[in-house]
Amino acid sequence: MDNEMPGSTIGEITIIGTGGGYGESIVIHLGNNDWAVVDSCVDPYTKECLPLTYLRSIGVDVRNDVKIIICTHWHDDHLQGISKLYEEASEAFFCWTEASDKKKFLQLVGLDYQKIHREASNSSTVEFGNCLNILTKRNKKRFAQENTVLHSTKVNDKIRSEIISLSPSSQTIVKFQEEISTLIENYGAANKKIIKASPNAKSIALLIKLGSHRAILGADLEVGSEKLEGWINVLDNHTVIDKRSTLFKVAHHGSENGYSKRVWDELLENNPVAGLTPWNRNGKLPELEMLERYCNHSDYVYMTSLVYNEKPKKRDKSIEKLLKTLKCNISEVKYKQGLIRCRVNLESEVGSWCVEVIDHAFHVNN
Amino acid sequence: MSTLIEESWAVDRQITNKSNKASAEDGIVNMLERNVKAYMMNLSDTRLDKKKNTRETFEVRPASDDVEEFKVPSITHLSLTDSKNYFTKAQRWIGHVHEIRENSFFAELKDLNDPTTYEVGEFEYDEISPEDRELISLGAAFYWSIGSSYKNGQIEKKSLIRFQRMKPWTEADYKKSLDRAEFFFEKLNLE
Repeated sequence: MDNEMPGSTIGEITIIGTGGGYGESIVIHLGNNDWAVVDSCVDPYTKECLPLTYLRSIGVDVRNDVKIIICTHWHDDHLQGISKLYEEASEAFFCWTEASDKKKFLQLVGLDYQKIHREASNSSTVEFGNCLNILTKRNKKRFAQENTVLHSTKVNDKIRSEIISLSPSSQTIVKFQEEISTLIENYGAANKKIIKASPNAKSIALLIKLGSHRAILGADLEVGSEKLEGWINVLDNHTVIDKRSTLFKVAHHGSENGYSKRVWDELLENNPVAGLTPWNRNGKLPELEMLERYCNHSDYVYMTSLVYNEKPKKRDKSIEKLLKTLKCNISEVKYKQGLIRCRVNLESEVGSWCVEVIDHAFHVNN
Repeated sequence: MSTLIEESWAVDRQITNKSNKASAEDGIVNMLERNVKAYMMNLSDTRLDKKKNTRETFEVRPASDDVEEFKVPSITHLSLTDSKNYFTKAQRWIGHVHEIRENSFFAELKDLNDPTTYEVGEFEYDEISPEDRELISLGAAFYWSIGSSYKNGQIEKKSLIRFQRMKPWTEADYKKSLDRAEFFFEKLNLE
């Protein structure tokens, strides 16, 4: 891996994946040493925050140069390690989804936080709670909703970079209030972990403007059936997308419910760079059929790692034998880190992305 | 680690039921009582031969002809392996139910011996005791142990699943979470 920091007029979007449910993160260089981090994930062995490790590895001054940290939604696979990153990035704004009843949301976080000693709290709630603690000392916050500029960087007199949220919609934000009540009711019990079953409509999909280049980061936003929510709302009601994007971080691990042909037809250039992070728990994403569909849209589909179908962990022979004897049906979710690093010259109006695959990441079309 | 089969959950309850310490302690007290009884019976034999000291966990030191002192063994040194029935845990996990299917449930498992990568697994309902089956729901936590049991002279491979039991939130717990929410709300100017 070329560990050089990009120059002040080189934009960067690096997708970090972990090969399963250990999470994903995206690191963005907006120019002029202004960095942003979207979501966070950790190495399950070392517990290191992967975006933080990556930023340090290329020599970024995390304390001063990370300007904004965005939580696209509070699912475990998007928030692990984010409080560690936020603690270090003392100049950063902390951004999350707008909630209409913030107090109720905070109560849910508080209740779940209390389960920390009962093995039933979600790491995302714990992470979020820790971030709120840090935030009380800094109070640099931003709330995301449709068509909202979250951060802006002036690279020079001619070049400007921006991060703009395309979702959640106003309707989703109102609905979220009802959902919090349901979550408190269904998962409020002291020994219950909140299992992600809720729709991903609250996810913050982002439009990244890097000079004249555009990228869309789909987070886990789903299409759904509501006209005023999810991708349908983005497609019908956006006011900020001024041109088609040449890079797309495919939504929701390439699942069918995150796919909309209209996104490819209306928001993306022909043959864009497409980055995918797999999911590997009770289901495996992306499914082969979907992967073929993405490859039909683009010759530049990249994945951070393969989706593995694994056996149980390697253990002492006697325990492995015991697992076999008892016919235990378990399998390990393998950790396979992969990075898709895309860099582009902000001074060039037509230049294309230079894509590098690192560790387990690979070019799917090959 | 070996425990009596019928008491293996008493030790687990210490973990699964932290809010109800008394039950966990009851199990341990029962264990102690049984060992003390065994000791007393053994003591009668010992009296016949004062030099004989058959149980390594009980120290017999005659102070006089009529009075004998003994130290109550600490729980950590309590040997249970010489009891009739016991369960040796070879591997333990904590799991959370992620998906409920018709005859089974799907769970994410954290290896308590090696908490690095996690595993996922499917469990048939008939592997779960009827009283625990009622506790199966999305998000529910359970402890899973595999190992060998020794019962009535027979060794058997075993898989034991116990769902976590907790006291429901109290009014004070709710108040605490509300206070915390209020604190953040004000401190972060979220009006």
